[in-house]
Amino acid sequence: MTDTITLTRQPLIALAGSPNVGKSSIFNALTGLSQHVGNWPGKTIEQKSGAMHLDGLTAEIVDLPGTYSLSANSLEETLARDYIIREHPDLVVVVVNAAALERTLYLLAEIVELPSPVVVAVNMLDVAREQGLRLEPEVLEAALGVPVVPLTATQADGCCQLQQVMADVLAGRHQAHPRPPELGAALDALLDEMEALLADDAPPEYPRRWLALKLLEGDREVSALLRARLAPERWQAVDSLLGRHEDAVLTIAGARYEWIGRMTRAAIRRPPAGAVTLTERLDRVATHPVWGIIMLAGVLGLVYWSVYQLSAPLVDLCNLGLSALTQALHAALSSAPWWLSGLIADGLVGGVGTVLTLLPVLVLFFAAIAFLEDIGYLARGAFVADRFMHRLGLHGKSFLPLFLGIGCNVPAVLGTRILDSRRERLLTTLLIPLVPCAGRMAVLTYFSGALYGSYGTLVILGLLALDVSAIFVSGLVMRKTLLQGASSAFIMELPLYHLPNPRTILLYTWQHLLDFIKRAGTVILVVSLVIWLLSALPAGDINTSWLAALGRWLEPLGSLMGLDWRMLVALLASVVAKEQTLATLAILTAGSGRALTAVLPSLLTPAAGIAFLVVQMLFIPCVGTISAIRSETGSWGVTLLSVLYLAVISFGTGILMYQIARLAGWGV
Amino acid sequence: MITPQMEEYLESLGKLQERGESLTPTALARELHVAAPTVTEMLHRLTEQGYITYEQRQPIELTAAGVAAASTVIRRHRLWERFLQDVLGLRWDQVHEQACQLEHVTSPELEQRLARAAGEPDSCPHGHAIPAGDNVVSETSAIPLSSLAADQAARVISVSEEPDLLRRLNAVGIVPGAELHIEQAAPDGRLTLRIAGALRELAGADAARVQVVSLAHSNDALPGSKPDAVVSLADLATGEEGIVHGFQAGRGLVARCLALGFTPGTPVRMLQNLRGGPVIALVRETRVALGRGEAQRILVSPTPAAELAQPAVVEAAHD
Repeated sequence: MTDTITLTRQPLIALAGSPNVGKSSIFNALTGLSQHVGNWPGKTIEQKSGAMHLDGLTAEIVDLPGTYSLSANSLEETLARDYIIREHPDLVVVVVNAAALERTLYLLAEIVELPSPVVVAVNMLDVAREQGLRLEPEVLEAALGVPVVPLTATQADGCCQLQQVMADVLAGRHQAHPRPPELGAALDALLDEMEALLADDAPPEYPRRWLALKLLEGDREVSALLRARLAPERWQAVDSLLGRHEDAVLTIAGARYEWIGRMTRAAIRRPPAGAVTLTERLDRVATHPVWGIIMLAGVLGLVYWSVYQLSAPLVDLCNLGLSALTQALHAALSSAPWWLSGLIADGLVGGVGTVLTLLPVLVLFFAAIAFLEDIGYLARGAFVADRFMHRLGLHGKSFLPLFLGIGCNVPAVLGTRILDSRRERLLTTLLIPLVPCAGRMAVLTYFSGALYGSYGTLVILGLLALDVSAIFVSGLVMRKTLLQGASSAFIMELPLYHLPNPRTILLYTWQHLLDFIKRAGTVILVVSLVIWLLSALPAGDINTSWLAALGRWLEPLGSLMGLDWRMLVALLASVVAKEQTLATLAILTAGSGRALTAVLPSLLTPAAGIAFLVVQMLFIPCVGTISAIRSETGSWGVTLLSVLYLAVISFGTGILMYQIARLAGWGV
Repeated sequence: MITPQMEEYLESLGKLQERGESLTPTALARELHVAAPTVTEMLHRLTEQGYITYEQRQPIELTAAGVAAASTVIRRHRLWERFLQDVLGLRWDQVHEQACQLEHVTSPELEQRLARAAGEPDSCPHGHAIPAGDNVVSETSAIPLSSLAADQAARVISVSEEPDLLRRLNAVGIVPGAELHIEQAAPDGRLTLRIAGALRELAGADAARVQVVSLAHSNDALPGSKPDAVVSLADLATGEEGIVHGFQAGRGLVARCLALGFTPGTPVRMLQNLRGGPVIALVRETRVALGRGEAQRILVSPTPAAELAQPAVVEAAHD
């Protein structure tokens, strides 16, 4: 049969699977670069979709969030199941992991209850083979009654057969007879009773048996839906049936696993027990409370060291190119009005360009993160960090985004996506700007060197100590006030270690980079132009500009810290990018004709210098981070809170330090 | 219209149900410290209003409305106890009486604020779970301390609320979460306990009012002497195995555990359990990291050490 697929619309395919089954490898292999990364409507959870070609026909494929089950325990699970139920995909591809077949089939046991046709992709055959597991896909296919395709998505032609089977199913060339899990006579009778109670009042878009199952599993969302929908006395009957079968949730899960056991028993051959695997040997070090911490510090230290080693020449190159471009633009626009050349050369290229010179650092960082995640190490890092994160009301997983912040706060904020509860995402997001990023550290190092000479290193160490205490105190304060509640349960799979897949790493890096560039092209562009305008208008002289007026207006605040308006403007400029402080001060003091390092001691008394460094250390993050906070939390309120909080504690600590230092006699 | 007295009755029925006791007028009278004939009249009123179903010589059953009302009163009671102890600083033997009064004058709004002020606790000072929704939490996995024999170890889950008893328990260090070891069990029921290193005495009648879960045996105990003992996953030492028995946790955590494969009857092996900090367990060929708090909420029956040598045990448990 070679007839083409005849469908009235573009076929829609959903890709489902538990975490750590290599779902994104399959998605990348199926779609290549034709991916679109967005958010689920109204949600901050990433939605990836893409186009794929099947038998000369283009299908849309949507990557559902990775979930272990379809109970409404998390936003991800709700999204995944609502998508399958409401959008009626023409095909759901369920990805399972050959090396953990039973557990990853649990999601399939839930999905086959839903009406869409299903294909099972058994991924990670290579990992299973390393473990000594042998899988017989035909046996599994016969048992399940749906097509089963074994593959290793990380290999070049891994997905050919899968694409063929997907095309066959869409064209109706595959006769599937799915067998939903048999849950046993007792549960079946209970389900029948529940279905009868729901009768015709149940919302028609949901399969009734599925609703009955979810009710018995204690699903909050389905319960709320039916409570609102059913007549009160009917709901009371349902509720009392539920009350009599409170432990049904255990029985159902048990029955599903029993079914999975029956399905897989004949299809999988296990190795003789007792062989020590690679994962076991590596974990003896990686999850050890002492060696594990040392290893984590070593791995992350190596990442930072190599990122900076590799990126420093690239950043220099970018800076050279940027200043050349600025000069060329000034030259080319010399006949244009001053404001036009200034706007383009200094505002646009100077502002956005400066931020874009961070690209090499970001590329290498994203690649390093993707690498550590892909080989399975990141989960171990979170595990060993759990012990001390608990003191902040967070758990191990929050450690990862916080640590990323030392490189750049932007990927750190994006990294909070891995956290389970909104409370933890918010708390971590609010703490991230307190982690000094590379740009901030560069500015601080410059200043402490210029102001305190050989004591500079000591000052930096003191600042870092202050910063770490600020993180801990802020964590404790927020935990006790705004973000109360227990930390969410720390349950996390530790995946098997495996070889990195370059394709996954490249795509991850590419997508995150694209995200950053988009932001540079929008928010950062606008803010840079505004700042330049403020520094140029009304007369084209920075000393009489509106920015200077703003700085002078803030002088009462500055006088509490011994800072004049130029230092305040330099601080405010750090909101564009942390490096901007230096550039701004250089412009503001350009009249003196001396190098900035020589001018600084005359601008700042030692006490004011300390205040300035403290404020710079704890100050409002850069626009890139602020816009990341806004887009990740989806809330202007939280973004504003973060900015206000940091402004208050940075100025507060700065004023305090200045007054103490002045009392100590450093004020002259 | 529900009166404070009716609430009191429903609360007691809910507590009986929590403990897995049968709901009879006699048990109810004992729980309420009143005479049996007094109870019957109220039972009829509660039946009329649809909170219970009750017929002579039949056990009482709470209806859905009854369960909802009972869990609401129980929740308010235990939230007040938490608040009174944690926020206002009353002793744990004072809070029960106060909470008995306050629970009847608590609006839903007040209840919400109370929960927030007390830090959304999940148990009362005496160790009883605070029901989150319209349900009665089952406490049946705990057993009375008096049912344990000498040389067994246990962790205290909850205690009864009588002020005198609470003062005595406090004096010997029996509070929810405390771990103890039974050194001696006298024929009259008097127990000699080792708690936090010190030897303490406890009367048999008092021991019957302390609910505990039994912990793994110390090394000198006979392996397999009590195969049905249930401990928490966090009690398994590195390398030990067990069979998942059940949970002492809220719906959300239970659902997550189930989806990850911790279904009752499943073998688990502890891969790493060091003092403090999270643990790693192997379940269904997956390494799962759990916080210590989470591991303490998964109950397992340890596989006796003697059987660990035979790999067949793990296979058999699959069936």
